[in-house]
Amino acid sequence: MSINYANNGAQAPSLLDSLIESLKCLPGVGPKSAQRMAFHLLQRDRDGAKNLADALNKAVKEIGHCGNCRIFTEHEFCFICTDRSRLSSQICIVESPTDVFTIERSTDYKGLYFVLMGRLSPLDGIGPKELGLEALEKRLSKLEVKELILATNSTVEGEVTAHVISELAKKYNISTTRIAQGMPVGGELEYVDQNTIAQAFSSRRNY
Amino acid sequence: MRVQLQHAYCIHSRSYRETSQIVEMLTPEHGLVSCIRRGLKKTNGSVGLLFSPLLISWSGRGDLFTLTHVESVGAKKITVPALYIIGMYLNELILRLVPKSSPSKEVFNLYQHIVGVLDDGDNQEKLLRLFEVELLALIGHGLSLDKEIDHETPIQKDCTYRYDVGLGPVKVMQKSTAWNVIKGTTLLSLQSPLSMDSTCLLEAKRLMRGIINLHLANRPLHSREILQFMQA
Repeated sequence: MSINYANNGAQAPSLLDSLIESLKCLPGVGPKSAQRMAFHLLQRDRDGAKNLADALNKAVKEIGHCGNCRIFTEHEFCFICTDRSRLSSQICIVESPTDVFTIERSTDYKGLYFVLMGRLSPLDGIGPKELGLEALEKRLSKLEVKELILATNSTVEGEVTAHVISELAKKYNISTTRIAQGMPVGGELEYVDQNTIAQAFSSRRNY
Repeated sequence: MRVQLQHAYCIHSRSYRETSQIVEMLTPEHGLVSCIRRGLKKTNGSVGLLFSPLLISWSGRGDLFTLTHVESVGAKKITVPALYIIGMYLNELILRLVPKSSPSKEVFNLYQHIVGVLDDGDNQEKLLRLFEVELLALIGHGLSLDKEIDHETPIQKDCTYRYDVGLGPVKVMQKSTAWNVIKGTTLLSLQSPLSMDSTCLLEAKRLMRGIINLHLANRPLHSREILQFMQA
């Protein structure tokens, strides 16, 4: 029978309790998983726990945002922005740093990025200021950008964000492109929802 | 409480935990309803709900219900991304002005009508004024547009009025740039905003913005900030 230490403050040592509580901040980790992780680290892998603590401490202290594209880096500029072989005439706009890594892993895109750290969502109080659109505008005015690739998510908020940025790009005569939307690769029409089919039909291309 | 297959429009959705969303639904018989939508990544998480006519079922008690069924019963009403911002403005007004769980078929029908015609033509400004005037009337803050504050003297086209919110228009002699000083012709044309001319539209926009700000206790509308950013 397992004892739930996280819920039993009277019996649990306070350090263990706070470790379990801290582990719960990870996505998808509830009280039981947090308890299992804490016990694993203490019982079987104390070295691993030390390394994890050191890495976390160092990361939180030193990792900030790239001065250009805002992805996570411990340097002033990230590895993408400092790579001279990349095209500075293309900037891809994404919502979150994980999107950068997804695109890097799946495509042969060789331009630069700008991470919004969110999307315009007026009902959640996220407006142009919160997304750093002024910083993007400064960057557009300085660099010789020829194409802005709008890779925000295909949600209403993502579309609004893409639209506002495309209007911004017009001021500087920069062409904008939007990543294609429609049928998923390997998908069957029967199982695709109405809105996706409608989108796929309206953006069909010559074949 | 278990409610089956109600017509609805999603007004707002936000992520909740790993695979859930909290959604605000506008329904004709139950008004604004907050529901939790679970298991998104496992099922149809990619389906966008905003601006699509829906049929929904929910169960539970209290203020937050569990959405047990959601299906789209027609194509998305707004399809042009440029108009999504206007749609979000409508949604923000609904969410901030309409009291929760107060059933109103009229509010639902008004929203359905405006969302359904936003894509057609280029009269969005007029449609917004229509929506604002009608929505205020439906939630008990209707404007007095044809009579002065005494409810008897008719508004005259060529006169200037100061609109006192909650009371009505008062005739004034001096012209002013204050947001609530407005021509009689604009007040009269706000009764049927779709046939307004461009001069009246500008004045009407200023007046409606001021009135709505007062009803929102001067807390800003974020969708308006986005529109202003685009116009800057």
